[in-house]
Amino acid sequence: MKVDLRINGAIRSADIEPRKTLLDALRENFLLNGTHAGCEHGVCGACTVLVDGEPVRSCLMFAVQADGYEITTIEGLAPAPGELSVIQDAFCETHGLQCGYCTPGMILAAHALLQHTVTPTREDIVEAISGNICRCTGYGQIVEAVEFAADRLRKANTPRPHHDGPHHAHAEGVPAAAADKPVVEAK
Amino acid sequence: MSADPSSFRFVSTNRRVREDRRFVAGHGHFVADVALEGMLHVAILPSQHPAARIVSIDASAALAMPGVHYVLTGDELAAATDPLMNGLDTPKVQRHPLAVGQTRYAGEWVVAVVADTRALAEDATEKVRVTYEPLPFVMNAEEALKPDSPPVHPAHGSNVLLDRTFVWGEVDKHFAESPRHLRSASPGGRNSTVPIETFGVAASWDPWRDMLDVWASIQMPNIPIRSPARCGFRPMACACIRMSMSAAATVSSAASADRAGGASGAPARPSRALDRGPAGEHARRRRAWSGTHFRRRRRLQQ
Amino acid sequence: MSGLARSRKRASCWRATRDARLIAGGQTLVPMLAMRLARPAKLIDILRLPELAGIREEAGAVVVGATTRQAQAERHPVIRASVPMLARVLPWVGHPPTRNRGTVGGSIANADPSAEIPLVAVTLSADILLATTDGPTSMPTDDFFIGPMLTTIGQGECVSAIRFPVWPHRRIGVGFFEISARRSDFAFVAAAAQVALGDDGSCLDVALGVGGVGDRPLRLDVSSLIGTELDPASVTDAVKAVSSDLDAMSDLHASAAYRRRVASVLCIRALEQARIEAAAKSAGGAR
Repeated sequence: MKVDLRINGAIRSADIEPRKTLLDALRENFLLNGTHAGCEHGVCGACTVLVDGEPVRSCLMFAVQADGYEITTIEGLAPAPGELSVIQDAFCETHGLQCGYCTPGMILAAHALLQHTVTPTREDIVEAISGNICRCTGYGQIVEAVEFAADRLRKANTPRPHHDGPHHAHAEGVPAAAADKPVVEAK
Repeated sequence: MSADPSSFRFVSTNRRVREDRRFVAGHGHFVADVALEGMLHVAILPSQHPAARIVSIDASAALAMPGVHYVLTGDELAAATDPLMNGLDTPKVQRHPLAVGQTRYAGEWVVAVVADTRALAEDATEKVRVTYEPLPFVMNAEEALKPDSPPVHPAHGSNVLLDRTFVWGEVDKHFAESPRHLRSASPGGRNSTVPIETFGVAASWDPWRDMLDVWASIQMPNIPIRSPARCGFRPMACACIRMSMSAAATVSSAASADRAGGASGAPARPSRALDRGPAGEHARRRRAWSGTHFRRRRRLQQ
Repeated sequence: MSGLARSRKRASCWRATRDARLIAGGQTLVPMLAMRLARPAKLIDILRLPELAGIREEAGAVVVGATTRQAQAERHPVIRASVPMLARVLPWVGHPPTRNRGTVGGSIANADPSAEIPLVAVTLSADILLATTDGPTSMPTDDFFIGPMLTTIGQGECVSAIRFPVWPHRRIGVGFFEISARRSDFAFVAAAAQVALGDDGSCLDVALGVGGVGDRPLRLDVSSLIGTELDPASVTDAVKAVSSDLDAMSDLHASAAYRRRVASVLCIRALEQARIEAAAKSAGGAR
């Protein structure tokens, strides 16, 4: 099935089997290997891409469903070849990675968060990356990277196109976020 | 006596990891990123039984599917290779990449299907018909120690692979002297490494350089070097092993000829069975093989 | 698998075949396809059908289109204002990326006994609106959810919307508690409560439900609390009266006894949390 996808700002076309996931199409048809296959059933987040600016699991979308959206992969974040975005640079600064496999997904989740939320709390960051599993770092330096990036973006007065109101529940301080802590009782 | 840390240029200074740059940009080179010209893909058919004898394998329907190149069984592979490395002195306990004669756990690999794409290979595994005769099985270690429990490796004689007692100090004396004794058993659960990259191998045999190129998601270079060598993969004068995962992204090493089990130029010939028939014909074409998640190297023959 | 329907008309002809399945957000269906546990010959993509989209207010109700993404509902001002229980539980549903694609209708149609959205629908006595080959129809949740992952959706039908009742009271509070191994895992037990208080602090209305306990979400009748001040003794008595013989399941995660005991505790806490939230709303002012 012929499909035109808008990926990282460019229209890319291919003839793709309907049963092929967006993840496999990005990697095989469009040679964008930065999006990774981990669990392939929507649990680990290594396949994260942005669809209209929001993180989704590309292993749970079919390529033929992805027309009409603005798709952003990790390759679309660098401002120029060899240059790093503020968030990418922050991950380097705090060494928020080891093997690098979860990293593109983490960075895209962080990017989406910081488009909505100028001053994320630690809880906001943890919630934003809660759908991405890391087997190497223990997450501490990843959270630091996002805090560091948030700080730098604030100081640079970076415009945030999606920060226009109640997009992020936690930033709003809505009771939904405040009240419920997980309750764990011994059996 | 220690030097003033501020006098060091590198030690204790805040420096970035050099490799991070390309990983944050999505330019890591993991095994699934290896794409070689003519590369085929392998899918595995595992056993669903805790223990079973393999009665028959019928791959005819799978082989008839377009894009399917080969279906490898354990018998065929075992005829051309040695068993896998064994960490204990138990020569009668033999483990093979593909089950031979019987399967010993649910999930043990039985058949490897080779096809143009991963999806086709997986489609074809569904068409392979394996007939099993379920066997008695044991799933608990303490049960397995009992003499009447089903033998997992009958040739070995029992289910005990290793029995060791570790002794520290004067045990009998202290037991005799202590007023109270406590007995405790602490079973250890099984564990496994579960990297998010999962496990995969790509391999390419170059008949001109006599070189096996292997890309593997493993941090122990010893394993991919020694395994094909020990399994009698020949002729192998050299292996080039590249490991993905982490900053040690590419490492090359050469296996010496004697590790290959024969002097180079005078190779051992356990491979004769593969020379004939469709397997041999097929093997004579240079191919690169890859797999993601659960795949195996295909042994190639000149 | 071949085929992608984009218009309602084309979708309806395809629905008629036995070998086709509907796909909306795909967060539950695609993993099953990936593992080859489900094997439809065709998938019908309904995610962008305009008839199934949108959130609209009716008299006394909010109608949520089936393909409303969970993340959209989480942020939507009408949901937050008028169906606060739904807004409260949504952060517990899956993870942010799954909520960006997963739909409200999809969760309803999936009917997982421990899922939060079906629990809200049952607790609030919502109606499920269906598109069928004979035209649109609606049914109460009690008729819709019939077992674990089982609903009365027939061949050729799909959930088109969920109608959530809106309480008219000024001082409304909700409470929600869930126990799971990790946040966003399937709940072992979940309890959701909504209360309305009069200006004098007495309970004007109450709704209570538990999920993860039986084979579907259960609404518990604690109407005996109406007129009380939701004091701890009354709440405890009312909850114990309805939860002591709950039909509970045992599985490798939790025993039936555990589920019953924890359900009772979570119900009490949810009611208390709802009461506190309602009490914090000013008496005599606008909502």
